[in-house]
This record gives sequence, C-alpha cells and structure tokens, in this order.
Amino acid sequence: MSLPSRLLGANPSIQVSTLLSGTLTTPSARGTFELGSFESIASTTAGSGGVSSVTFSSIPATYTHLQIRFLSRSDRASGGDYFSMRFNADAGANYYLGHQLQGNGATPTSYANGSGTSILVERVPSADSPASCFAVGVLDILDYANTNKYKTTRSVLGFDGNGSGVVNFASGAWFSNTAISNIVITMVTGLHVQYSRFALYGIKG
Amino acid sequence: MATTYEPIATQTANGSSSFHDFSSIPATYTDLVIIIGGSVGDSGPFLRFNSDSSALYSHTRLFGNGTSAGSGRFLRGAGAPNDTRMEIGLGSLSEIVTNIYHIMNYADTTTHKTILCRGSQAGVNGAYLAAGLYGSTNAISAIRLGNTNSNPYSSGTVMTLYGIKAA
Repeated sequence: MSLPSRLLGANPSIQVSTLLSGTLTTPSARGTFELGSFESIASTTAGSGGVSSVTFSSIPATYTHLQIRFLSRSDRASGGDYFSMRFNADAGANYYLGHQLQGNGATPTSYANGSGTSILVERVPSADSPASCFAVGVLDILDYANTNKYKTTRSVLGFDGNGSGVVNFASGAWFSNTAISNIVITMVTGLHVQYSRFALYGIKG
Repeated sequence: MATTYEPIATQTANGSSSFHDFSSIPATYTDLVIIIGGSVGDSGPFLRFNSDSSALYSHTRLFGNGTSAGSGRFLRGAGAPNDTRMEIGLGSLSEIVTNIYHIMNYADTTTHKTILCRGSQAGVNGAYLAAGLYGSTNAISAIRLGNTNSNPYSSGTVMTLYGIKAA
C-alpha cells in the first residue's frame, strides 16, 4: 500500500462542523491529503446568518503542534466580543482562561483572566466597528497530542477600525494530559458573523 | 500533491533600491505571509497594496522596549504619505530586525483586509505587534515594501512571500 493510502487510512474522518442556533450542519470531510511539515487539516467559513460555534473533531494525533488561523467578527451590538475554546468537550473548571498583553491604541495593559471552564480569546470587533472589519489571529497549540503534558496555547490577534481596535498577545492552558482530538470555538456573547473563518493546520516536528 | 505553506517569491535587497515589489500574486492561496529579515532602515517599513495610494490605511500597535510598554494608533486622514500606505513593522539603520506579516483572506472580495505584524528587534522597541486595516475589498495581487523615509533596505535583507492554503 502506498504511503498516501496508508496515511489516508489513518485519517479517515477529520471533520468540521458548525453549530447554528442548535442545529448541527453537515460536516465537511477533508479532501486530498497533503504531505509536508505544515498541513491543512480542515477549515470552515460562516455563512449567512453567522454561527455560534465552530467544531473541529476527530483531529488525528499524528502531528506535533496545531495552528488555528482565523478571521472573526461578532454581531454583538457594541463593546467587542470574545470567543471561548474548549477541548474534547471538557466543560469543567480545567482551564486557565488566559494571560493577556493588550494594546488599545493608547494604553498597554496586562491582565490575567484566571481559572475557568474554557480558554478565552479576545478581542474581536462588534457590530459598531466599521463594516467588513474583522480581527485576524494565529493561535498555536503546542504538543497537543502529548499525554505527558498539560496543553498550552499562545495567540496573537488584532484588528484595527480606523480609530478603534486592539492587538493582543495571549496564552492559555488546559490542565489535562489527554491528547486533543476535538476543539469547539464559541463566540461568548454574539455570533461569528458571515465570512468569519477558522482554519486548522497540523505541524509535524 | 499540493503544498499547504509554500514560498511564492523571495527578494534580497541590494542596498540601493528604494522599493521591493511582489507582483502578479496568484489568488489561489488563503493567506499570505511575508517575512523580512535584515535592516529595513530607520523609521520603519511600509506596505502598499495594489499600487493603491488612497487614504485607506490605518493601524493599531503595541510595543515594548525592555523598559516600558506603549500602544499607539494611526488613523486615515492624518495626511499623505502616511495614510497612503500601511506603516507597520520595526525598523533600524544598524540592527537586524524580523518583521512577519500575516495577510489573511488576501484574495477575498467581500471583506476589508486586516494585516497582523509581529516585529522583533534587539534594541529599541524590541517587541512589537500591530494590526493594520486596508479598507478595500479588492483582492491583493501586488505588494510594495519600502521604508517610510525612502531609505533603501540594507544589502542582504531578505524578503520572502509565502502562500498558505486552507483545506
């Protein structure tokens, strides 16, 4: 059996699903397997009406690290929004929400969100931001499949609204040695609006 | 088989050119990444997209110099040439800097373009993060790199454009 065939057999069902007001849409299966150190696993773009959650499931343990590259905007009326991230459907108090270093265009601030039931990623623009303005970010989950370590996330995120906006360095943690096979990303207050996009990549080391 | 993260083009500065252009960028990727390593002159680098010198550029930034942290913002309407290009990234005449630009959804024609820049430098303003907004829904097919004081990048400065494809 060729290498691609063997690898396809090891990753038969990586799926992405979106949750819209309680209805689980049809998962989209991953397409052609791609060789290399940095590989695309799955991606999803919110359609008309937006989505409350994005789920990456059946993530194989064959990579060393994961990276999520995203665009996000909330339909919350004002004040910006956040999204939460949970692993393997763990809704227990097994996370550190995050440490943040943030700039708002005038003042740098540093703060800790404390322990909680998810990791928080902030901040994305709300409906009062200029139209078509999205936050973009890169979030890394290092050693996600290692069963000897808790899981650490690190992210850079930012948006600019020509007079508004924030940029943010952040870290978070999941206090579990379990390999991550499922990630759910949920907007805390509003919905991920249309054109919001989340793409999951695997990095081999 | 398709490669997910691949180099599109690389340029090496000759020490005299005022600009460096990446043109005819294919729309077949999802994100672009530009990595600049070298000396990009004092006052910092800029990016201009699609030869667009309209006042469509603004940004928010965060930086730390080892003593204190700061945050600033640049708005459109501040006047040419500053708001006719995206002036984000670290610069130095004498020190090597690394600026990494993430241009997400660069080929999308429904959203404005947000660019994320991480800069690293051993000296002043050594840690830097900025988000820039290019207020256009046009797909980006060309990028000009330059220095805000029109200084050339030092000879040997390397600029590489990468494309990333999502599934």
